[in-house]
Amino acid sequence: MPLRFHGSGAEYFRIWIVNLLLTLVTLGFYYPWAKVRRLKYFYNHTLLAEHGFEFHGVPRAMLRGMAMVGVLFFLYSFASEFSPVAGLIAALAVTGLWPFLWRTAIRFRLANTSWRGLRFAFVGNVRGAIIAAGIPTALLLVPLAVAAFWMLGDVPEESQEMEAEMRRQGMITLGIFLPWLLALPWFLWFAERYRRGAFRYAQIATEFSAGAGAIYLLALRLVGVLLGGVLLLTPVAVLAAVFAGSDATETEDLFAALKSARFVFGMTLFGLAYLVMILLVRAYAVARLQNLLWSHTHAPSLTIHSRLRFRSTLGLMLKNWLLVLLSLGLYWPFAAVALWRLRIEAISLDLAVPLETLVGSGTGGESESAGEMAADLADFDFGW
Amino acid sequence: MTRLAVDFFDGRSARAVEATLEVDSDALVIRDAASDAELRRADLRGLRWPERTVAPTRILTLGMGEVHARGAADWDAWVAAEVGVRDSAIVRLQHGWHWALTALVLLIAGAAAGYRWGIPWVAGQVVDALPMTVDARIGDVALPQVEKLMLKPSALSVAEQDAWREKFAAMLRRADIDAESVTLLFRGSRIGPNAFALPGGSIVITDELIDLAEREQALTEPMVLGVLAHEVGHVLRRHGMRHLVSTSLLGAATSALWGDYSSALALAPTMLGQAGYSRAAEREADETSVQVLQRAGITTAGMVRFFTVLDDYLRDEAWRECMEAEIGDEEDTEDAEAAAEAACAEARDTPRDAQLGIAFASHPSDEERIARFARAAGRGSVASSAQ
Repeated sequence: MPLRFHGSGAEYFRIWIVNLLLTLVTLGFYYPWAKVRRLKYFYNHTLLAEHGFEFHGVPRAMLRGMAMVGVLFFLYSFASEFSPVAGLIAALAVTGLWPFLWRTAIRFRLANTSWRGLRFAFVGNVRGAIIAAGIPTALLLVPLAVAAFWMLGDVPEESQEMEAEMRRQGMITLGIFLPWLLALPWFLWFAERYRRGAFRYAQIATEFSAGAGAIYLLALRLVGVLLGGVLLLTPVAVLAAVFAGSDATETEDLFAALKSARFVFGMTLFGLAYLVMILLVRAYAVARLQNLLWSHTHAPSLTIHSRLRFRSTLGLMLKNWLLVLLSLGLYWPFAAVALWRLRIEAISLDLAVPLETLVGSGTGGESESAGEMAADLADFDFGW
Repeated sequence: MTRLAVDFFDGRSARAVEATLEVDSDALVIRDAASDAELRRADLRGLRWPERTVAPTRILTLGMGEVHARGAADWDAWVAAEVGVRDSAIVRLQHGWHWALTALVLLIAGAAAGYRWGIPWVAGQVVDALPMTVDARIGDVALPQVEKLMLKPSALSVAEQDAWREKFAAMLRRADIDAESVTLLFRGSRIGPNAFALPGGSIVITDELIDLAEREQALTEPMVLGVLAHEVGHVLRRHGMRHLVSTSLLGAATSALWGDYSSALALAPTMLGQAGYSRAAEREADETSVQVLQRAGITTAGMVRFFTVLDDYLRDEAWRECMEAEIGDEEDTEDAEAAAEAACAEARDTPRDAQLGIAFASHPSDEERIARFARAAGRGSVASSAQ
């Protein structure tokens, strides 16, 4: 059964513009309505075996959850300005709450999604959420908050001491980020295994069969693509930088050089080279990760294939970027629709049993209560 | 009463049943197309009908289960005729291109208004709600960090510092400002002449700035006190806190508009926006400086001179650095010197405040600021004689 998307950029543009306008006018209060409208548009027009999906979220109920998350976020970003102690408390609070919020958001989204009248469900337990979402957050936020205590040391007089101090702080930050980055593929694998092992639709219970090694291999290849991109584009970037800076080396006056035409042109070229490099990595990550994750999500009666091609993804992303830039952002809805179509239509499902045999799942009681459960969870929904 | 052919899903299984829709007084009746048996009856008042879209999907959600349209055009026609559901205002807004374009124009106007009035107003309300102790706390945290980056201990003697503190306190008293609300700190600078205010009332003035003022002899005191009065303006109006809050709000707004797409793209509007707010704050602080100086009976001619003095100093510094770099290793011949002078002429001739272009500048142009103090100098003589 193939997936098809029948939406159009032109139509979504109109929805998007009105969403933005009303969200702005209402100072953000319209946002849950805008989000429901957006999700309904994308879901309704994504067709699997000729029938679309539906999103059932009720905006008014989503408002409360979003407001709460917004306040938490605001407090967290302010706390670190206030004092290291406040920053640490905020980091611990976010770490503690995040797994629950994350899990509830997934449950909400799935319980409010239906296909052919049957709702999806997410049955992942709290323990899995704590490991999947809590540990990565804790390992990043808490050490950073603790390190903040050491960052406010005495003011070194000598420039040598100051250099040593900066180096020390750099080492501390690196010491926190580097192990975390190395563990990131594992975090991702665990989170996906937790998530994709807990999707339910009718009697179909999915599981995730890729190993952590596969994710690490993908990460390695990604680094390879990054290096390849750097090698390919560095000559361009260097030429551009030299071209741009050639005026500046003649006078020490930085500001005059900034205004020269050569500088502007050179920096634009440099910026474009940088952009292409980023998109290379991003397109590779999106395409390969989608293929890996979806092809390894299956159930006894269900096989999923994802055949998203790197070249197509890269081409579309480059085109999108260029047009969004040239149109000062107005092309964005068209870009979003095009990307969604590309990604969705690369996926197809094989169901080994007839559709008629799929009956409402027994999890959480009969299907009648699925709607109630969705309403219970309706308190929470995030920005995505 | 016409019937509409649809696909019905009962919510218990994924099986599609060919069915018909019919309206019977207050209820929507779903019948099996083949046997005509009634499958479901739903109260019309509780139903939320799907919106019209160009794409052909229509899904009606029932308490349990769904009804899917077979053909969108037929569905739309039937719903309009039988149920009487009209497009909501929002849907109508979304359908016409002229509406969408109007929405676009309104969006741009609204965003501009939000930037100019909305965000500053909200930031003001938030800051007003915060007690001054919050400012003080943040200032306490920020000072060591700033010192680490840009300052060193002052070279002024304690006697000199106290003398300036006396004069500063006297000015505040005459201008009816509580001297307890500000603390004057003296520091040496690693970044040239400067003075700034931190949230909570700490005002830092650098030795270099005082040195610069002392070259002006008669105008030394009015110049230093004018600069300090400007910083007091920042403290009294809590610009530091406002800047923090409005920057957060601005960042949130720009990422709501463009951040989905790229956080890098959202950065430029945020930086431009911040610079705009910063210039507004500098204008307000200049205004406070004028008022304080006038009430204290101090001439604003010091400030009029200040910008020129500072600009000259910065240009000289730039020229000196340029000459050192040019001549540096070369022989001290007349030709070499002439060549270096030619190369560095621009460094000396370009006014410092024109460097970044006005859009990114955090301060208004020197001309504007000089003009403000000059106008006040004209009025000032009248004000002080009235005291």
